[in-house]
Amino acid sequence: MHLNVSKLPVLNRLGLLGLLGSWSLVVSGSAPVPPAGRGTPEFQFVRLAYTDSGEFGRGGFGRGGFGRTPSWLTDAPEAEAHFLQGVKRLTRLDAGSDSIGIAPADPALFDYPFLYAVEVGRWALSDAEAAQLREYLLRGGFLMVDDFHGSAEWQAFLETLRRVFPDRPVQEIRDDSEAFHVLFDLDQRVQIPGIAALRYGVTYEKDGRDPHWRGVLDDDGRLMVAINFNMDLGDAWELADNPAYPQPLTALAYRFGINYILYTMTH
Amino acid sequence: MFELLLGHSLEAFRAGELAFARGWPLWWLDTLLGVGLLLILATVWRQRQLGRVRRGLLVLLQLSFLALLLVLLWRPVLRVSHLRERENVVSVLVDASPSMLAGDARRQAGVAALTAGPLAALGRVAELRYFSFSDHAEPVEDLQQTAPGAARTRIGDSLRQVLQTAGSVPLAAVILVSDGAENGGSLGEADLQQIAALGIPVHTVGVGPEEPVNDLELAQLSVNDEAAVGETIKAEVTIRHQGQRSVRLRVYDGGTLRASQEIPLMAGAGLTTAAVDVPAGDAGLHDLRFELDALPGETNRANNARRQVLDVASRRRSVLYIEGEPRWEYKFIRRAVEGDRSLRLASLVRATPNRYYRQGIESPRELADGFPRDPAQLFAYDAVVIGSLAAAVLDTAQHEALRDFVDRRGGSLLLLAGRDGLGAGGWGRVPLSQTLPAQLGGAGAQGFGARSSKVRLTPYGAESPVGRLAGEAARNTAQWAGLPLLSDLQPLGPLRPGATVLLETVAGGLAYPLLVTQRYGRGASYLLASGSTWRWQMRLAHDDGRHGLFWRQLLHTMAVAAPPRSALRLERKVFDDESAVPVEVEILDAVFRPVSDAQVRVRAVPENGAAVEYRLLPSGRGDGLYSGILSAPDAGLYRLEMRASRGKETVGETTTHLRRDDGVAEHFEAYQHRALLERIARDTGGRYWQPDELAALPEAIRYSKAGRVERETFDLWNVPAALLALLLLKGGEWLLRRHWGRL
Repeated sequence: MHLNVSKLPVLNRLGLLGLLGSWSLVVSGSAPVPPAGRGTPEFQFVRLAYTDSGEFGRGGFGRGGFGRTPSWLTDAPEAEAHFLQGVKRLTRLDAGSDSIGIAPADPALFDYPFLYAVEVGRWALSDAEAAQLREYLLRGGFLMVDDFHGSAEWQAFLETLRRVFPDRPVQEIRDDSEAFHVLFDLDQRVQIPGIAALRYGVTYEKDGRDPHWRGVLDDDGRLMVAINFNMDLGDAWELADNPAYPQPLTALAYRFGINYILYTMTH
Repeated sequence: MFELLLGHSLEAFRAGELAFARGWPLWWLDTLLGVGLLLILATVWRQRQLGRVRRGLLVLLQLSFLALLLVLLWRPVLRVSHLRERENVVSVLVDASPSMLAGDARRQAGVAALTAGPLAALGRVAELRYFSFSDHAEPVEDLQQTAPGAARTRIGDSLRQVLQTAGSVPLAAVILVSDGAENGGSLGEADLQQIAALGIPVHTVGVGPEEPVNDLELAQLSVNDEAAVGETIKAEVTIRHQGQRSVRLRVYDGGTLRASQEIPLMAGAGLTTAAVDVPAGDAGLHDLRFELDALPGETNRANNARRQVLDVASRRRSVLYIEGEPRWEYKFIRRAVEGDRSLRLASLVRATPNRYYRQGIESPRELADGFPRDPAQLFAYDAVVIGSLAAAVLDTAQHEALRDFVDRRGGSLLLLAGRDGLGAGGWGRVPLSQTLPAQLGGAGAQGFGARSSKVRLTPYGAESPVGRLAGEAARNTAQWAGLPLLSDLQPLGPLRPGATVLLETVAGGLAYPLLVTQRYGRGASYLLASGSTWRWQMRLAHDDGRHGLFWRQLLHTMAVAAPPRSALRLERKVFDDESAVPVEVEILDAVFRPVSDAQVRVRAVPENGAAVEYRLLPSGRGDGLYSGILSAPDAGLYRLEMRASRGKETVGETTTHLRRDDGVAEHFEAYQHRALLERIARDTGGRYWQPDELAALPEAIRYSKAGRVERETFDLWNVPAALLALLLLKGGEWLLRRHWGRL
């Protein structure tokens, strides 16, 4: 089952998102091959519809999360709606205009080689989900994670990531990685903050003062998990039309996002 | 008995011709026979009490009697030519090649059968001259003497050499004692005609067993002599056997075992052909030996093995891939070939309207200006892949260069389906389209669209390296059948007459060509009617490998077919018992036009010994072609270094290897080739003889038409057989009538 994220504002008004978020979107059985070609975009923005761990006070049915937006839907759908317009304007990528959500255990995951996971300080994966996500990445899928801050959320993120890849190290992405040069040369490392931090006049949340561009590589040195730690590219995309959010940071967030997409479509 | 009854030998009747000497017209004979028949019928018909069968028998006997009598009245004669005694020469040519001197001592058997009597009888009517031969004939004093044996048998050359003495001596006949195991290539159809035209009868005496006994032979080995690093080459072996169920074939590279396979053999004796996969290994020279395990007690083990020299190129083949937009297909094709040591995929993807992203390039300048504008830069690649790229992105000169890339350069081109691919991208309206295996676009053409379909291997695909996902045929079919569905399709237009469909896809009960190819000019073109093979990679386990294997094999097949700018070609790379090595060199310039004014030199460097340099001359077979014959006198490996220059400029360089072996050829097909010996005898007017039939040989040669002969005419009316026949016919009639009581 796919969830069309563009329909989410309606669902949100009806107060159903929390219910959806707490009931994980796991679909069993084999999914049909999705339509493609003319009328179907080559690139589909897919959010990883994970189950909230209930940590850090958000999501999780029965843990004070009922009625609230599940973490995986943070910034949706405005973030991708803005960002995808930028992708289509700046590249020749045949990208769809909206996004869908797919649960980690859904076999349909394998039809979309790019995944976006947000607020991954709160993600929880069952053994089956972790195994499928590992298989997805090893086959050539790509996971971009975003919007988590501070050492506590890092530990929570890492704990779940270890279930996906118990042995693969998480390392800083090298400056000369093609992920930073495939289209835009992103030589400067500027922290891209969430709007909440900016309201306090800082660019960080919790104890996450230093931004990190980290990653997990496959056996051939290709980036398969891009980790934007202590940053919130999703907010920068979402608030592209908000005068309160600095335009240069939005532009930079677009560039990182585009580079990640082009990187995974070429490597 | 024959001679007693007919007055002359059977050989006289074989060699002579029958005629009537009376001089009366033959129609008289026919008329008299007809009148006689009427009289017989009239006489016998009245004897109705005998019944039809008995009357018919009487008519037959009386008519036969009358016919024989009339024939004798016309005076039948036998006209024969026979040798003038002691005025002619008969040459005896005995095969002394190694196969004749092997364990079964077939040469001695043939000589013994001749000297037991026939030669003495022949010696009374003609002068005998003796020759021993293997690759050429040498006169010898007697048949026990043999000329030094050569490594090959050239029956045709040796026969010609002896037959040509007919110009100076009255040569009446040649006796050839041999097993017929010709292996020097001197008995082709033209050679046989030339020998027959000399008009000297050749009597062949076949010696040795007509079938191999307890012997396995690696009769043929067909395998590429060039390969790419890491490639797996397919060797085709043909095994001659006599009822064995299976045999193990081992492939050694020097002293290292590279492959081993148990080959099931067809029931009974005969030839079995099988394919064996052999890993090519690293770059450089590989001295391969294909060897069958010996049978218990097998005496001729030398024919269990054959060799091949394999040159594995260190140069990686280059493929240029241009994609008009970022696509998953692009990503997964790149991943498929990234670890390939023998293939380089230089790619351009049009990431933005104004910027191409380059990958797999060897220098910062490569493809810096996008798709090559200079044909020489384009022709440096071996294959080109064009993805979802509108044809209008390239200018006219680039389109013409692409057509020439296939036609003149001999490269391979693959067009992929996509939003801007194939007909949708306008590729049916560019010069390149004439090279393609199907029409693209046009009225009613379906565009690129979503359609779930199942891929299926065609019989042609199963034969092609492109379609080989597994070695064994049934497993290969299963591997293809198990691939996930494709999700898009761009149906092709009508196929061109030379097109071959390697893969097809089935959607809605209809089959569509999926991967199609055809040769065009020196190169080949391919069309792939889908852009979603990447789903095979994402829908199969990460260690499945089928997607990657398919793309590597497709791109390898395309790239290795592209000829190099300069080539040094040999008929083969293993020369058994032959020292003359014909070579041909082709020299082309950077845009693959022939260079006809080059100085071409080949340096032959033996494994042990001094190098020799040869200058090659234009072959006359075409522009840019040079040829010559090198000498490889000693056994071992040779490195051949070719360098072509024009003034101070080097216009071509290449290196290859060959192997020379001695004492090999005579161990193969070392049984008696009776059919060949019979053919020589029949074409020349002689006869094929087995050693135990040779008593009649002197008489057969006595009636030879060659040499100095005299003609004689013998009456046949008075031969005992004629009188006996007349008596038997009349006596038989009398006995029958007596038996029937109708005397």
